[in-house]
Amino acid sequence: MSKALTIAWRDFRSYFVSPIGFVIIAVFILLMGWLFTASLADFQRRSLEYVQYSRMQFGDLIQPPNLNHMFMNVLGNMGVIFLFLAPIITMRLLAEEKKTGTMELLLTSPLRTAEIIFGKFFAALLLFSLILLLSSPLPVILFLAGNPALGPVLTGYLGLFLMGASFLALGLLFSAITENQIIAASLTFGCALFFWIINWIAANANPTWEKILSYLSIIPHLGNFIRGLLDLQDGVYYLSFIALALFLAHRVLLSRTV
Amino acid sequence: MITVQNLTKFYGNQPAIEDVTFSVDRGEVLGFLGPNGAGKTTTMRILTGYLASTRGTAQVAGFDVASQPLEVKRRVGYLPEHPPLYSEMTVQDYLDFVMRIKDVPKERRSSRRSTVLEQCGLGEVRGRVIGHLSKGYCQRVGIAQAIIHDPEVLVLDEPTVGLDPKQIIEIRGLIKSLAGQKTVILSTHILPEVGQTCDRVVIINRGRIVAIDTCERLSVGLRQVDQLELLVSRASDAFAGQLKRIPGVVSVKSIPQPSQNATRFVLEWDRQKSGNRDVRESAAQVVVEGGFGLLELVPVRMSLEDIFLQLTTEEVREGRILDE
Repeated sequence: MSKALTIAWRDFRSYFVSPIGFVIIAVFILLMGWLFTASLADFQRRSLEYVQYSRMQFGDLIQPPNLNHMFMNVLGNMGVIFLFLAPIITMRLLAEEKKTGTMELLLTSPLRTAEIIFGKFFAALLLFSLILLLSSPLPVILFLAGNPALGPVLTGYLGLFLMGASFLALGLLFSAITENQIIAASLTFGCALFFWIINWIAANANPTWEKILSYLSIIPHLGNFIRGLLDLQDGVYYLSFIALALFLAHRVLLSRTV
Repeated sequence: MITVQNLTKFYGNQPAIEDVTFSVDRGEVLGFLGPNGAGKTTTMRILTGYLASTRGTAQVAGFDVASQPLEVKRRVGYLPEHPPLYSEMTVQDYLDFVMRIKDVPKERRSSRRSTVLEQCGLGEVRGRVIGHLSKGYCQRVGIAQAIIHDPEVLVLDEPTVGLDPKQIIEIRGLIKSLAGQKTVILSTHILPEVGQTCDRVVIINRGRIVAIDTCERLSVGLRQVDQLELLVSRASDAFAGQLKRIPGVVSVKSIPQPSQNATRFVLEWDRQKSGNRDVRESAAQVVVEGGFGLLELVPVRMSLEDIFLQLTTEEVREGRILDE
């Protein structure tokens, strides 16, 4: 597996030789900063409202504002942004190698197919982890200014990490299928979004389908993590999602014909 | 060192290669000659483990390509038609990466790196980004990645394509310097290249092998019709008639050469009809006995180019050549 890490490191570095890595990070940070500012403003307004209502003895009528609630929204938004960024991170992984012919180097070197797949996956995961890490000033600000509960913040990040890893695995699969990066990105985005909204029909389906579709959807699982609920079922969902996507990518690479 | 048997590869219903069989000895340089689309690249891709064959077996250094791909890949260096380079990396970083994925032990890496950089003439550009290098340098980096793990077998797919004449000479020199230590298979559609660099030639057309032999034996042994050129100073009609009567001679053409005050005769003769006596001998006898004034007697050898064209165009009876 050390060769998988070699590949991962090479690919991770190549994100930063071209501006791709920097652009993705910059876009993410700017958007997150804006969303966080908006949520903070909203939180401030609610706090003022709450103080006013309390003075008028109506305090029981509305919920006191909660920093954790506010941050849940921020984490949820981060998930949405990542839905857009993941295809861009993964589209080049294998598609570009096929296009430029460097795939021939990898496939004629003494590498197992699994090492190539894991190497590529780790590269994307590393960039994603860096992005998550770069969002850490946001919760730090919260802890400096207030007193939120640590647990939900951590589980929220764990959930985001698992969801992001699932998108990356999906993206790797589509990057293995085509040598056109645009097609890879489009399919990844479409498929990830589909899993996002797959349960929208659940309310109108029969009970069995409702269960299946809700389980398949990405949102309820992420929601549990963000609310601070650690359920084995949610972890299993993401891990099996990742395993299946990587397995299929492995198969695709093995069955190459050209 | 390399044994290929009945190798066949279909893309859908279309055969890319069919029943390709040949073997290469240790230290030998084998040329793969054929027009574009003949199946050279497909064969090489199967040998290097990039593609799986539909049928048939290929063994490299005693390991089967299909069942022990890792062992084979450790022993093969491969330069694909387009050198597999990461354009954003520097030459040195790229070679380091290749050494890692090709299992070069850590302690040998720095010595291998400097050896290969020097061998391929890349010392000056080691710190340059590959994307900024000229095509000739890119090709050399391609060869460098193929030899960096010191493989026993080298597979080079059109190593000189797209280079200028000076670069071609340099690359050929590099390949020659590797011959002897390594078993080399190289493909090309440039004919003189084969004559200059290879011990043996495989001519492949439409996915089938049409001839395997050394360059010399190919140009002598393959001919159905041989040619002999005679330059005589005192030619007459009787002379042409005498030549025609020699057993085996198919045709005689006379070409006057006023500048030399002589006539050139071109004899075509068929080996199989000439019996035991060599036509060259009979022709010489005719000229001398008749006192026609022999100036030149030249047996014409087919160039590799003629053979190639003959073998890869329609009129050739492919079966006959292989049967021989």
